[in-house]
Amino acid sequence: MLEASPPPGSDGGPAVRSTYAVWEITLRCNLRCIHCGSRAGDARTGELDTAEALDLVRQLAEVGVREVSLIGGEAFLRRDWLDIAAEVSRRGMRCTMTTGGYGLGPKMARRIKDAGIERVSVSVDGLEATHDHLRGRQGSYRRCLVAIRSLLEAGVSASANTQINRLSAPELPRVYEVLRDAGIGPWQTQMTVPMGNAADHHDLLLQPYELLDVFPLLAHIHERGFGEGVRMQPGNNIGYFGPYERRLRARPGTGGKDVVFWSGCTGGVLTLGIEADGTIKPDPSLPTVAYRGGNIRNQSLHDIIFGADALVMNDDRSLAQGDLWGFCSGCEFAEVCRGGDTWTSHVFFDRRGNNPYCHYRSLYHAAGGMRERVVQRIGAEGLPFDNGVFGIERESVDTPLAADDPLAFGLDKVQWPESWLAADPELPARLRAERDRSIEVWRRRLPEAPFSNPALMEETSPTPRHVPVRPPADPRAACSS
Amino acid sequence: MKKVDLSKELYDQTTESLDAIEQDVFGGRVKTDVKAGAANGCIQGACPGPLYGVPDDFS
Repeated sequence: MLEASPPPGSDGGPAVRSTYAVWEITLRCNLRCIHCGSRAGDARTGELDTAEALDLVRQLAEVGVREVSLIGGEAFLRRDWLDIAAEVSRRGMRCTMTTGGYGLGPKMARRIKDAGIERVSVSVDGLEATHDHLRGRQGSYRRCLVAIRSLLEAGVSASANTQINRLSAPELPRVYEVLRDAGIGPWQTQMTVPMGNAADHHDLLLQPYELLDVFPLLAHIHERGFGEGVRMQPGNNIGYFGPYERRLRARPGTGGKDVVFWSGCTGGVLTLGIEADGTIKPDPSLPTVAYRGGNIRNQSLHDIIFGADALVMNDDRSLAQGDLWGFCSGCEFAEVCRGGDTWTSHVFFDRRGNNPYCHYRSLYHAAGGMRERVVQRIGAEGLPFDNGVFGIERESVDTPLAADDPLAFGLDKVQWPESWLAADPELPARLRAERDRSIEVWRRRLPEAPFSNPALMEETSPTPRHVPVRPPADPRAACSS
Repeated sequence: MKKVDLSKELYDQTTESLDAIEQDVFGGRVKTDVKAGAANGCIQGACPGPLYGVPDDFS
C-alpha cells in the first residue's frame, strides 16, 4: 500500500488522506454510452481552464496524492490534456487514464507514452454487438481493441475495465478470452448501477437474486486468470462476505496475508473525485448533489478534503456504521462492511447504508426461500451523476418471473468458450452445484432466515420527489449513432 | 496514508467467519497462492485501480 508523507506545511497532524485522485478533465465524449453515470457527451459549463487545471495539479501534489487517473467524458478530447498529464508526472505523481478508446491509435499511444502516462485502462463492455450497443456507437468495439494494441505496442501498460450487467454478464467468459488474447493483464470489473443514463435503462441492471449465479461465474474466471496472466480485480461494488469474498479479492503485497476482504468504503479516505468544473467529491462515481465537498475555485483542495463534511464521511467507522439501515443495519458483517459500496446503495435508494447488490444478502434470502427485486419508483432528473429511487420487492422464489424477460440472467445463459467445455464438460453443472451448495450452507448457518431480525426486513421508503418514473428504454434497441 | 480504521479484533473475527464459510462451501480454506512478484502473481502498481479496502494498517 502507498504510504504518503504529511502534506507540506502541515504540522504533522492527520496523515495524508486521499492518495488516489480520479479526475474528469472534461465531460465531452465521442461515445454515447447508455449506462454512462455522468451522461457524458457535451463539455460541462465552466470546465477548468488550463491555468486552473495546472494549479490543481500543484495542489494535488501538495496534499500528497500519489496517483492521478484522468477520465472523461473522453479525456483526450480536451485540447490541453497531455499538458495536464505531463504536469502530473513532473510533479512526481503517477499519471494513469481511463478511456473508451475510440480514436486512440498508434500516434496517440506514442504521445501518451511521451507524456509519462504509465497505464491506460480501456473500457470493454462485452462482445462486439453488446459493446457497440452499450457504448452507443457502431465500431467502438473494434476501436477499443485497436487502442489496446496501440498502447501495448507503444510500451504503455494497458488494462481493461468491464461493466457487468444483464447484457454483458453472459458474455464474460468470451470477453475474458478476448482480453487475454489481446495481452491484457489487469482487468477491473464492476456492476452497472442506476446512475445517470443507466437509471434510464434500468432493465440492464442485474437483479439482486441474479447475483447467486454471477458470483460462481466471476470466481471461476478470476481463478482461471491466475494461470493465464489475467488479473481480474473486482470493483468496489462487487461483494460482500459470501463464499467468494476472499477468493475474488486475493491480492499480493498485503503484509504476508494472501487473502483479504472488503472493509468498507474508502471514499474521501484513500480516494478523491474531481469533476471538470472543479467540484470535489470523495469518490468520482458518487452523486454530485449529495457528495459535493466544495469547488476548487472557491477553496483550496487542502481545505476541502480535510474539512468538508462529504470528504470526511468515512473518517470514523462508528459514524459510517450509524448510516446503516435496512438489511445492512442488522447484518452480521455490518461493522466491517459498512453497507458495501456507497455509490451503489445511494443510487438505488437515494441514501447510503443499505446495499441490494450483496452476495451475502442474496444468499440469505435464497436460504429462506425468498428473493429480492429492485424496482424503480422515481426516475432520475437527467443530470450528470444523478440517480432515481428504487424500492425492494421481496417475494417467494416460487413466484413466477416474467416469461417475456429476454434479459434475465442465469448460469444457463452463459456463453462458454468451446475450449472451456471441451476441457471441462462439467463446468456449468459444477458452478450450479456450487451455487446451490452456498445456499444450503446459508440455510444451515441462518436457520431462521429470513425473518428473524426485523431490521433486515425494513422496506425502503423513498423520499417523495417530483420526478416521475420513466419506462426503461429498450436495452436492445438499435444504436443511436 | 490515512489509517484504515479496522481493529485487529474485527479483522480476526471476520477472518474466522470467512474461514468457516469457506470450510462449509468448499471443504477448506481457499489458498490462492497469489504472491507478489511470483510468476503467477500480480505486478504491483499495474492493477487498474487502487487497493480499495485492503486492511494493511490497524489502529
